[in-house]
Amino acid sequence: MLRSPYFMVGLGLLSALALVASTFWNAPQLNDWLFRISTLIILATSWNLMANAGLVSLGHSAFWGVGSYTAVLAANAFGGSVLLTFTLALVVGGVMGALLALVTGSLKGIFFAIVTLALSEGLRICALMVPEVTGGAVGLFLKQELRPSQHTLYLFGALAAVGSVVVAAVIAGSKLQFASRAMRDNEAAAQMLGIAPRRQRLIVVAISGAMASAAGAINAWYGGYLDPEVAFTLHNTILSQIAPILGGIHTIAGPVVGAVAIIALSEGTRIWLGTMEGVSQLTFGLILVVCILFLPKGLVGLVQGGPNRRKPTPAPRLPLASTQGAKP
Amino acid sequence: MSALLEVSNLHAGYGESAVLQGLDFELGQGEVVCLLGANGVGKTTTMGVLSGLVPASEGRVRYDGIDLLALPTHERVSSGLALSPEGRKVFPNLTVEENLYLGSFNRNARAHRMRKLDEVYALFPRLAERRTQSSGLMSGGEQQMLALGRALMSNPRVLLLDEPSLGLAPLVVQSVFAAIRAIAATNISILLVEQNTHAALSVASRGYVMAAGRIVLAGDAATLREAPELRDAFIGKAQSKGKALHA
Amino acid sequence: MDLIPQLIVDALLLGGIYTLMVIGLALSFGVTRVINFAHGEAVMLGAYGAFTVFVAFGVDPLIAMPVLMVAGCVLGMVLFKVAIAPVLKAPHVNQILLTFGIGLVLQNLALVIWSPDGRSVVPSYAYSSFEFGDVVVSGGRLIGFGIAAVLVLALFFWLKRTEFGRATRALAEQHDAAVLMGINVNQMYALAFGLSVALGVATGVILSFLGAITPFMGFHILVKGFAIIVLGGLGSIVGAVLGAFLLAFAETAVSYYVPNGTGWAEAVAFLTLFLVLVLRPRGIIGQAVAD
Repeated sequence: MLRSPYFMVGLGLLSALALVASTFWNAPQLNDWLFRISTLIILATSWNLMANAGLVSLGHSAFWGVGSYTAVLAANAFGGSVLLTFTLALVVGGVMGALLALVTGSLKGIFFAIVTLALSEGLRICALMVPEVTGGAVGLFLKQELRPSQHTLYLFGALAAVGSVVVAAVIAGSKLQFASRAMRDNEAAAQMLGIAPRRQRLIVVAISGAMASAAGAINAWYGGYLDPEVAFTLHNTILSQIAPILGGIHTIAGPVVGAVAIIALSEGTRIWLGTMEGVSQLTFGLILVVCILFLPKGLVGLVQGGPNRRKPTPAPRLPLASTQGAKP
Repeated sequence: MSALLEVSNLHAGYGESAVLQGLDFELGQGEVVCLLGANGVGKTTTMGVLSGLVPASEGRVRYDGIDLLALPTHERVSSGLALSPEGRKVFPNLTVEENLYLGSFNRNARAHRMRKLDEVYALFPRLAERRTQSSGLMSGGEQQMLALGRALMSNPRVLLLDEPSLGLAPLVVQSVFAAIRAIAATNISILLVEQNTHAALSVASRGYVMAAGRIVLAGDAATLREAPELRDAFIGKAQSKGKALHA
Repeated sequence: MDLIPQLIVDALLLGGIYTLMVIGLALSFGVTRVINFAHGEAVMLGAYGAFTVFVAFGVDPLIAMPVLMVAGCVLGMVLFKVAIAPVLKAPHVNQILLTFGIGLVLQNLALVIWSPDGRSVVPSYAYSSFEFGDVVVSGGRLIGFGIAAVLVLALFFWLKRTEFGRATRALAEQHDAAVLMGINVNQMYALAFGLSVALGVATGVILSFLGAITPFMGFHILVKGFAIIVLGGLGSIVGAVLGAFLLAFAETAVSYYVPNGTGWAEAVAFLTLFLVLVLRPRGIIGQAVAD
């Protein structure tokens, strides 16, 4: 399904429909939903790219937050347009991803996860501690006169979302996908196949970082306000992973399906249960746990015919202590 | 007399590759039997299946009248089956004595711990000298003694020894095999897997030759020593190994 | 005034509590090789447990602690059998996301039950303090340190001297050989996990009278825990103790000497994490973190 033309055509039709609907039937509520779905598609696709290479990010809000600040600061400082700041955020996010890949070198999945988790939290504290730049806890407003209409931003977001899926699809058809897959299953074996894990990893993390950062930038224009809590909220980290997991990890359709389902779900619980603090996150947590335990291939896997089609690759035990009694 | 350990039509493997393909052999009470064969024919896998580390896909193992394969891994030791694994696998950061204590972790053996400890130290005085040393710092030969001693600590009826001579100097191999002979004299049944055919046949009364996951030759030690098939089994190793991997 | 003696005392007291905070995390990872991203939530629940018992029955946290620890241990073992055991052989991605998801559930359950308001437990000793010359010692922290020291030493004793403790160390070192010793691996995994949660709960009880209790406190604790573990060397419990004191000293020093230091002290953990991973990925007591 993921590489089937049906999905691509379906996606194209869906986005066209959404564009038409929003243009002719300009309902703010609908636009808001579609905007949130769009940014989440970008974020989730970005997360899934890293996961494809066996890298679990627990800090996608770091990229998102940096992208947000890039957009707001650039706009306020020299009146950058949406497009300009979007491009800038792509670059900054890409560089940040590349740096992250360099710093984490050959660290295994668990440590990559830990580093990303710490990264977003560390950046939040840094943002809080340099109020001269970020406004600190008080926050920062994007100059009102620069902001385009919500509708323009929505269109921009939708296009970017389609763009991110296209990028993912292009990668899926490229050598990079093969390399990612090999790295995920067994990094040592990948090396033997002549795949340079570090270089491929750098490319993957850079692209993924650029995407998440760009999503944050668009969202900053949409929201118009930033503070460290908003920019680096754990919420985005959670959304970024839960959408692909629910939709179907390691597929192109998964993040898209998951993003739609998650926004529908959170709007649903908001309407039916009201805004009770913690309830939506609690649901997300439950979804995460239930999906991993019972639906490891997500909704897409369900459509494809049961969660057990792909044989799980067992995780190799980490060699911690030398087993042969080598002298330390 | 029916055999203490009776393996019939055993199949096992890892993922797609079948290693054991219908293995049959038996081990009598108090007997020392060796399994010979080239690298990759499934000797270590056999030991893995018997000790519970590797699941069997087909076949039967009867041990003292019970169905061994139905027994959970952790209960096989207390039923009297102990493996000294290939590569020794001592606990490197634990002391020699701690390693030996772990050998008698199971409840049946715990009652005999002090008696067995004395026996092991009598058999391997070297271990007694080094009882408080981290086992990872010892030489290969000493680690092999420790692995043997650790297996003995479980008060076993059947001792499974996987490549006890691996990587050891000839002189050390001699002393290890002297110890094995001493253990055999105490009426413990021993199944010995070895590449060192000469050493193995010097302690075993009978032997089996394996190729591509099954027995190709069986006989008593004297016959096997002369058997031309034994040499062939080793010479043909590349072929049989390839078959086992691609089956 | 000379700050050094005060700094040393504060750092030592903090280091003791940090040790207790991470030792459970190090234990469960060392044995099962699954990193528990919900460990911070065990601490958080311990703190809320102490708070609830204090408010409802007026029971001192220190008296409630043994009961809470037992409850935590049982809860941990059940959680392991139900949720973690099924993914032991699954890809790391699943393991990480699963424990992260469990943490998320517990965090928001706490949010629903106890609201986001910061809570605190104030037994008489919480705000007491006394002076040794120039050095002021907080009574609450001293008691917390004492309990932490007792528990950590008890854990070391258990690991070193008891049948199951020895089996735990064996399992952490050599999985297959441990199986050959007749150790019931799944049971030991569950036990290690249960103990790890119990130690987390104990940390929470101590933190309950040292500061504010919130549903989100676990997250910061988790990140600090990682910094400490990576600093000390993963899989090494002794390394974890060393890492805990190092981080405590670094944080205390930053909060004393850097302008606006209390805020920056929070960032020390992250900086440490990065520096260690870049400069010495094996930690102080070298264990493999990278390939």
